[in-house]
Amino acid sequence: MEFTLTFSDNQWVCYNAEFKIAADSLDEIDTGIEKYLSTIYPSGKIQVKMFFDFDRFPQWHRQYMPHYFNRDLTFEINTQNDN
Amino acid sequence: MATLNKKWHHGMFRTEDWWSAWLGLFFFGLGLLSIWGLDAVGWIAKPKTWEFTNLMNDFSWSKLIKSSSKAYGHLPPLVVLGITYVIFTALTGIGAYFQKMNVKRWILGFSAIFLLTWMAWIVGHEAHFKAIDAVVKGKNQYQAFDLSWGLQLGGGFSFLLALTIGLIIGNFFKGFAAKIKEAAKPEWFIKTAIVLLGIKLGMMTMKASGFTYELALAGAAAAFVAYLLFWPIIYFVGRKWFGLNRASAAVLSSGISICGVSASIATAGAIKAKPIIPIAVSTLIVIYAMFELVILPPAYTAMAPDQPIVNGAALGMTVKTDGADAAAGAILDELMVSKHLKLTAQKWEEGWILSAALLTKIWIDIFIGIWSFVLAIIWIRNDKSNKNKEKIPWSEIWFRFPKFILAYLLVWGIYLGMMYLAPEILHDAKLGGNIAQGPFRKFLFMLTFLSIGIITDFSKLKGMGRLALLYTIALFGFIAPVAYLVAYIFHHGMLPPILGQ
Repeated sequence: MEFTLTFSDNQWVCYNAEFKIAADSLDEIDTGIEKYLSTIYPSGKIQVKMFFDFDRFPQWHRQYMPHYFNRDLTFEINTQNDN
Repeated sequence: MATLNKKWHHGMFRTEDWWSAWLGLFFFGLGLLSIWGLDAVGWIAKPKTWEFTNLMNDFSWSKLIKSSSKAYGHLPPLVVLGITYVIFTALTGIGAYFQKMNVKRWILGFSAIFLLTWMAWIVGHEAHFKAIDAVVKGKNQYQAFDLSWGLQLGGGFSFLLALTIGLIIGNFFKGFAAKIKEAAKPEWFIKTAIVLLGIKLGMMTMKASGFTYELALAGAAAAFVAYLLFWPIIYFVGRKWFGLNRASAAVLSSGISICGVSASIATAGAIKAKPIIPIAVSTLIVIYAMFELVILPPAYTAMAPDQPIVNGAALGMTVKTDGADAAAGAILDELMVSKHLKLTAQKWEEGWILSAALLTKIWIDIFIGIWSFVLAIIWIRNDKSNKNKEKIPWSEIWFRFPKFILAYLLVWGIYLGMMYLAPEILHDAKLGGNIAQGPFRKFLFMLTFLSIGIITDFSKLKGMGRLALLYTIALFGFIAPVAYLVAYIFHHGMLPPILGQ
């Protein structure tokens, strides 16, 4: 599953066409994503890719470095055990 | 529409880094057409050395501007300048369009910058500023113009003048600066110029291969010094003495000790710092790069006029951002060549001192992707909350790798290939190559000097007291002296060849 990551109003914002979450830290983003995934997938390993939107950087910065970061995450969902 | 780097080829037509490579390779390709007898680069205008009274007595544009080759010598000077303007505006405008810039603002901004750059370049070529009282290629310009006084600064005066004009605009005419800022892109201009310097490196290799390879390899030592000596010490001082948090200390350490703004953004991305940190640090780096650019070249020229390559390499380790480093290298090159000419009547070949500054910086640039990758792994391993088994994609190294260096190395490689495989075409190749790495490259440097001044706003230093203090102490108390020592160990005694020998 792929998400776009950005930073706005001092918060990280992670979104795709179906889901959007904003939080103060990336840990909170990850927790939110995990909860969202558990509503879709009952169990299994879910690969998540996050791509930072470099448009968030002021334009004059972009000439120095055109990339911030991408993330590859693996979430282990097991909602059946939780029940 | 978001700007995302997903695939390896993303960004090839929308980043300034890639556009530096395309533009540089395009000009290089035009130059190579001389192999087949086509002069596709001689149209570019270049300034002539002139004298004020002589010009006023009998004004003529042909005393100020000329084409770069005789094939275009029949064209009036203002037509040559017009052609240069149209071609550069069109090519950079196409680049600006693909980079999602406002093309209308680009054209307006670039037109103003072009005009100001040429004014500075022409004024800088007035004989009282430029001419040196020595014979070069059988000619003494100082005596030819019958001067009674002169600053004898060579081409360095044009660079300093462009920088000064840029700084005045950036700090005292901020409304005007905001209007033309869209086109004030020193990194794009300088990286394109660096690609063309690959030609110079190729020619240097032909002339003195041992010297060039030694220069290139010794630059690798600079990378180790920057990453493994400067970085940990600045980080330690930032954390222990200045109470910076881990993220700020890491981002600032990279900015101060590695390669400036690009390193600070790469590091911040690697450790997933909030973007506000590299943005604040970048402002500081750009302003300090200006101090380094203005102070260090004349200081090194005065301190060690007999150690040109040491001075160049030391600049490469000390001055942050590619633009400021190349600009400082160009000033140093001009000042040292002029001073040596005045003192000894021998003219060192231009570009060797600049190449020493650049090769050192290029080695440092090459490793930024790997360094950020390592930092990212360290940061994740130390993050106890990382329960999600985050892996750092290998593609991060590629996305952070400066692509203009690939073009620079390709240009160098093509010259090496010709040298070893087809030496019979070298003479013709150099006809176009000399114009590409001469007038083209110098014009791009002039654009860089003016642009770097326009984007440097000293008022932004306000409120950065603690970071600015750490920067000052680290730069002048530690990095500059250690960089000089390392450069001395590797390069002392190395001299550029003397022109005509």
